Amino acid sequence: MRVLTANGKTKERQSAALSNVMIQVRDLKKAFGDNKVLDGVSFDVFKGETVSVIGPSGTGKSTLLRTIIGLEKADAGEIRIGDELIYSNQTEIREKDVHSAYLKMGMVFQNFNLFPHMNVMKNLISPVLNRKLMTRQQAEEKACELLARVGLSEKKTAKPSELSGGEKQRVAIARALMMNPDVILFDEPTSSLDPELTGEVLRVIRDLAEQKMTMMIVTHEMGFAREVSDRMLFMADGLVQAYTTPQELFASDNPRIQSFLGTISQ
Amino acid sequence: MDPSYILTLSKAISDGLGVTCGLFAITLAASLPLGLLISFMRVSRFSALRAISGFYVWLLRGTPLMLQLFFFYFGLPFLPFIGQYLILDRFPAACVAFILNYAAYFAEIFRGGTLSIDKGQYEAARVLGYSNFETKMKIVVPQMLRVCLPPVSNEAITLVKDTALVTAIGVMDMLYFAQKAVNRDVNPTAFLVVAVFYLVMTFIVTKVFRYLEKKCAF
Repeated sequence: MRVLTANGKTKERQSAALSNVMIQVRDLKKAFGDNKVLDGVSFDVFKGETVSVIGPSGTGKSTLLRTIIGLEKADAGEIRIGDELIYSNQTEIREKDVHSAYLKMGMVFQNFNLFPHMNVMKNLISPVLNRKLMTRQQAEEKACELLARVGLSEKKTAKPSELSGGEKQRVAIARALMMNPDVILFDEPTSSLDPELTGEVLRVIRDLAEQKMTMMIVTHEMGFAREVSDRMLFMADGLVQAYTTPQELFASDNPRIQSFLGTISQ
Repeated sequence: MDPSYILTLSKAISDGLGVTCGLFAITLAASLPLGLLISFMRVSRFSALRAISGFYVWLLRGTPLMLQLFFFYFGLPFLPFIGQYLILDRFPAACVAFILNYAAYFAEIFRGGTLSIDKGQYEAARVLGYSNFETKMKIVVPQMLRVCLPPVSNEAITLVKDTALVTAIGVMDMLYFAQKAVNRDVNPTAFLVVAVFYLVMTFIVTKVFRYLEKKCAF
């Protein structure tokens, strides 16, 4: 029953979505020395889609996200955000011209990377005020709204050091949302959390998925990924080995996927 | 020890209090920003700036402060051509020597502090749209200054005591008056009294920095 619904949903989206591509990656390559971390990766993410990126460690999942958002420079290939070409090794692109396209993407890090010298409120409003995206009053209103949404209204004046890991990560998600991103990239958002704190963070991400935020999530939480993802991207050896619905992926008889899912569930 | 004699000495020494505190305050106020600037140069992407600042730190940390003091007071006027325009009074010469010397130390402290800032801070700032310059000024420097408070406090305490060196070029600081009293009265009590002055000053400096550390704690 559930499988059918999920499949139907995906098909419907795919047919309606050809002009609705949010992230388009073509033949992306990135090597660190001799280590080809991305060896020709291509895929699309549609508007409103939640895609989890899974695979054995060291296969370039994080590098993929970091390359998309410009924290690593690719060696070759193409990246488009919406209609905008933000990286290509064929065309000359001036950083200044694509700066606003990069700002359409938010990122949530494994280690939160909150600014420790600012309290929670300042962490949220400083970036938008720095970019002059809103007035201070607008920023504070929006920050209050987002903190309520992630369940941290009480923590406005707390310093990051006074928060638990789960709270820090929820603040980090709220901070990313302050910029009104079209896409949020999550790089192992729960990997440095104590197991009992992952739930509160996953709940916030699930909430975003339900509101059709476009997201890519690198994660090792297979149960969560299976439940929240529209599609799952399985990477190994710097390549996309499978890119399909959770139902199909988990039912796959591909031995690599089988053995990966086997090790994870043990 | 006669209390009235100690009071007389204290009065005499306090004539130099203004000079000692003035030198301390001027040095700190000018060498901290200069040190920050030099620490920026040390990690600049322009190799010329890196080389100049590296040479500066090497030179100023590698020679005695006393020698620098002599150089700026006695030495500068002997420079060919420009020397005649560089005749400094005792106190300004002392200020220049102290500022340049302490800036070199502060630059190294700040460089170390900057290295301790997590790479993730730069990445978060970048994806949130901060330019390199904004990242430096709004994210890195405030955290770095906090990290550097203990070593800067250490330097400030050293500075209180280093100010006494200026007696050597005849600046009338606290030690100058103490030494004068000792010579005049053939009695070393003035040295004990001036020691108490320095101890009180270092005590106050310690407390102020302790307060700053607490106030700026993350």
